[in-house]
Amino acid sequence: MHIPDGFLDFKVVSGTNLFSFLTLIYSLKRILKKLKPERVPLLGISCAFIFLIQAISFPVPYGTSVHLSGIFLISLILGPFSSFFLSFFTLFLSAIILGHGGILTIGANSFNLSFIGGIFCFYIYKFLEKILPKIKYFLIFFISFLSIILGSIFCTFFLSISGKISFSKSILPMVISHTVAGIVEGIFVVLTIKFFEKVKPEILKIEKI
Amino acid sequence: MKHHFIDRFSYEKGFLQNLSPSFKFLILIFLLIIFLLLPKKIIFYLPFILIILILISISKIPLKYFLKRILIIFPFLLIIFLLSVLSNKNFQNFLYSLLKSILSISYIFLFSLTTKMEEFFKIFENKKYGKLIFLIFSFLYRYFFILYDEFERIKRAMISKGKNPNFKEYTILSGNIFVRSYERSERVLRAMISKGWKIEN
Repeated sequence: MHIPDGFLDFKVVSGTNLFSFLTLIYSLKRILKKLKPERVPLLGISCAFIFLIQAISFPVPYGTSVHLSGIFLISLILGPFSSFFLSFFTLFLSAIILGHGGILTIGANSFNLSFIGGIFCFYIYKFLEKILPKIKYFLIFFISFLSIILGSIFCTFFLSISGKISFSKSILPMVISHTVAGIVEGIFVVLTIKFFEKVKPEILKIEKI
Repeated sequence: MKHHFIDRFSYEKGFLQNLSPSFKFLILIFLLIIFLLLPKKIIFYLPFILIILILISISKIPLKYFLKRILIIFPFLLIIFLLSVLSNKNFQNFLYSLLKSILSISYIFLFSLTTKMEEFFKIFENKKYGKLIFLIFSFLYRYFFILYDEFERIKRAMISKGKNPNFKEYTILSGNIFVRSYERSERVLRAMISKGWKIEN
């Protein structure tokens, strides 16, 4: 969930923004050092792809719809720091033009979505993939699911230390409400990766930064 | 295809439209920090509400349209409201956060409605590390609409072939969009090089 401006207090805003901007600068330096210039258009268009995935609603059974994040998927294709970098800008632009999220809360939102989904979950996946290569697709499903659930837990945490809600009373409704989105995200990432393996496997061989 | 362009009021000749994007952005950040620190007394909020009403009128933005756009954040606020009720938190505390949130989003929308996005992205163009950011923003803003058109086209083709898109089809659809984006990026690169873009680190 994107936290709008006005709901986080000064200490949370400054802490999360400091963390996110430091990660952003590190990601930018890493990308500039390693990225081949021919890859710039792909990076830009992937950023538009994340924005599109977040803007459209996916129909799920029983007549409702959810929107996906797509950040873990991009980290599997382009790498963790590229994914953080790109999703930071989609968050910024969606705050400015769509009103999803906020400008000062971009630190908290990019921690919940981009850092957890892009960097943290990517390394967890790489670690587990080495130990359990046989259940690769299940791991992709589970970690996509985990990225959404962890995001919602941190969202509750930030709102609770700002004094807006109580952590112990809100955590369960928040996690339950994100479960469907997490499962949908998991199935989406697995099916998309399988689709790439079948149709265009070179997408999965792009150098990951 | 018809798109709901976000910066359509930026071409009007109003007060805010004439200010430079970087100046407006700095003022916006400054205001957002002020809202963050405002004490919980209604008297402090009234001047900002008055200012925004004046700015809307001198920037030639229809008030009805503006209010409709602000409604977009209410689903998010509803979730936080429900969680806040569940937590037995102070209701007054929530109302002030709500006011801060509506004020912030109003000023953000006022900025985005009166600024040409291409000009805003140019703030980054000449900075040390800004060139990549400028490129990413430009690609994001330009190709989002193109990818959205492509998404609508494939969806229409699917429906016309008798497939009512369900979740699995949507996944194939978005996978398809990425494959096309990948191929498009290669064409764009060739076009950029042929128009004189230099590959440099």
